Amino acid sequence: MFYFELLVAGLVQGAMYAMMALGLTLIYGLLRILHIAHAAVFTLGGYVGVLAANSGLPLAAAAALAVLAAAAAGPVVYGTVYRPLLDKPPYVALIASIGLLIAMEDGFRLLFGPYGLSFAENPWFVSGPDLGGIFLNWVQIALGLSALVAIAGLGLFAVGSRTGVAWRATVDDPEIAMSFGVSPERVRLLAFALASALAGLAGFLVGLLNNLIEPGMGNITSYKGLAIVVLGGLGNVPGTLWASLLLGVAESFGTIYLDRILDRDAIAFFILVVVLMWRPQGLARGR
Amino acid sequence: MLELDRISVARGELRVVRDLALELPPGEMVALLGPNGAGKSSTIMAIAGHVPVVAGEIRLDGRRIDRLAAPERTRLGLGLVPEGRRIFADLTVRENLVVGGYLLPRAEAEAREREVTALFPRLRERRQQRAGTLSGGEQQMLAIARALMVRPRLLLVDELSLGLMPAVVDLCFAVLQRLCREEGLACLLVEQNTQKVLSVADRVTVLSAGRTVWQGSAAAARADEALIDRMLGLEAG
Repeated sequence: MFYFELLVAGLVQGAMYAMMALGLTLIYGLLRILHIAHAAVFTLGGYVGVLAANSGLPLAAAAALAVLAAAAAGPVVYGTVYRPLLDKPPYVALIASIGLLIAMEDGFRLLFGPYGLSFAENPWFVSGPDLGGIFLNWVQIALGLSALVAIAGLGLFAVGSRTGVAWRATVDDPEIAMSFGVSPERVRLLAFALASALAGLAGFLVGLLNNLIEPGMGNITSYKGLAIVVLGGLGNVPGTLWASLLLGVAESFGTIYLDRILDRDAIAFFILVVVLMWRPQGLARGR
Repeated sequence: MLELDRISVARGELRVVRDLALELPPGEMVALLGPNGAGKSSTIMAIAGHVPVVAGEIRLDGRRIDRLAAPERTRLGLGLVPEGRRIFADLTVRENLVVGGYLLPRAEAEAREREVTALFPRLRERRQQRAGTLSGGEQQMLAIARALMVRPRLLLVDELSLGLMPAVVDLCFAVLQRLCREEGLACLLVEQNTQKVLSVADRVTVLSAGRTVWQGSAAAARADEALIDRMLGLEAG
């Protein structure tokens, strides 16, 4: 039972990583940009959520606001930072992205203080259903469910709608897709909106889980997200999902068996280094 | 239908086509021949709107199109079968056709999909197959079918025969000839396979180093062995 609990906790953590890494890999697939500042959008979701909740809104409404704010921020980030740099070499956008992350992090610090904010009330954290001996709180349930719904929804959208098909065609060959009337610009804006909505929701839920929203909360998650998208094969969506779950579970067991030698957060990077030495192209094929 | 009025085409700083003049009436097939680097593909991509025209005009049904964006030209009735086919390898056959018909209303696109797959029954069998796993010939059929989705009146076809079995090449050309005859489709064909294209085309334009070196009927080109030798000789050099 103990191992099963560890597995479930690991899968929940992996679901959270998936919500972050999915956006990174979708954006990489379209633009060949490693969107480091995704972490700041994650943090933005946390701040909008905690401010809304502490002003008296119910948690579900706060979550919706966090998602909306993040979904709006993504296209703005694309339009102001990445679009002007599209015809520059990819490292220019990468450096701009790092700069944006630092700027947003310090912005949060200036606006809301360096020590972070906590939820005045956190009912989802302190209660949860008893699932036959395994205890998960409502935040963990929400994380797992959100990831499932988001992944299933994106999957259906990608194969079942004309817009989804047009999106995949744009990833494949933007010039030819454009000539058939697909607007690459609209696809990019949509990708940033969806990816950022997921990151914002993840930020809000992680904030609830730690009962703390602080300016640098996205950093470690973001670095792990990068490790995951590299392991999963850059731009490879199924590979990214597998790598997310794998990392969540590895960390979960690692905290029990490796805690004398490796910190929880070091596990991702340890795996990354080992895998890259053995398979520089990642575990799965990239784009 | 299509008029190229002394166009010049540039790739970066380099002018790769100069003063090319060509007329293509409905129902006709014109072959654009010449050695590698003669500017044939650049001409096709310039007509389709992917490479800039730096001088001259391109007109479609009398309307100037050389300043329009590529999708606008598609909307006006221009279809492109690009060099290397460039099908969407990660999409299924059906999804490739969905993108081909993206400018059409959904119901019309679905009806049109049935029509184009009737031209290539092999594609209908492979509807749900990932396009990247198709054979070369099937990929070429898909590239043609995808371009036909919007019912183009002018089809630009770049290197249809490259790397394909002769039987498949014959099948594709037979479909194009039928569309020219029955629906008045105009085709501009870029080809290395000189012999084959001379047997299907009505007229021929030969480019060398971006300049037009010969224009005439395909029958005249077939009759003039020396001309063909010269073209093939250029290809070898």
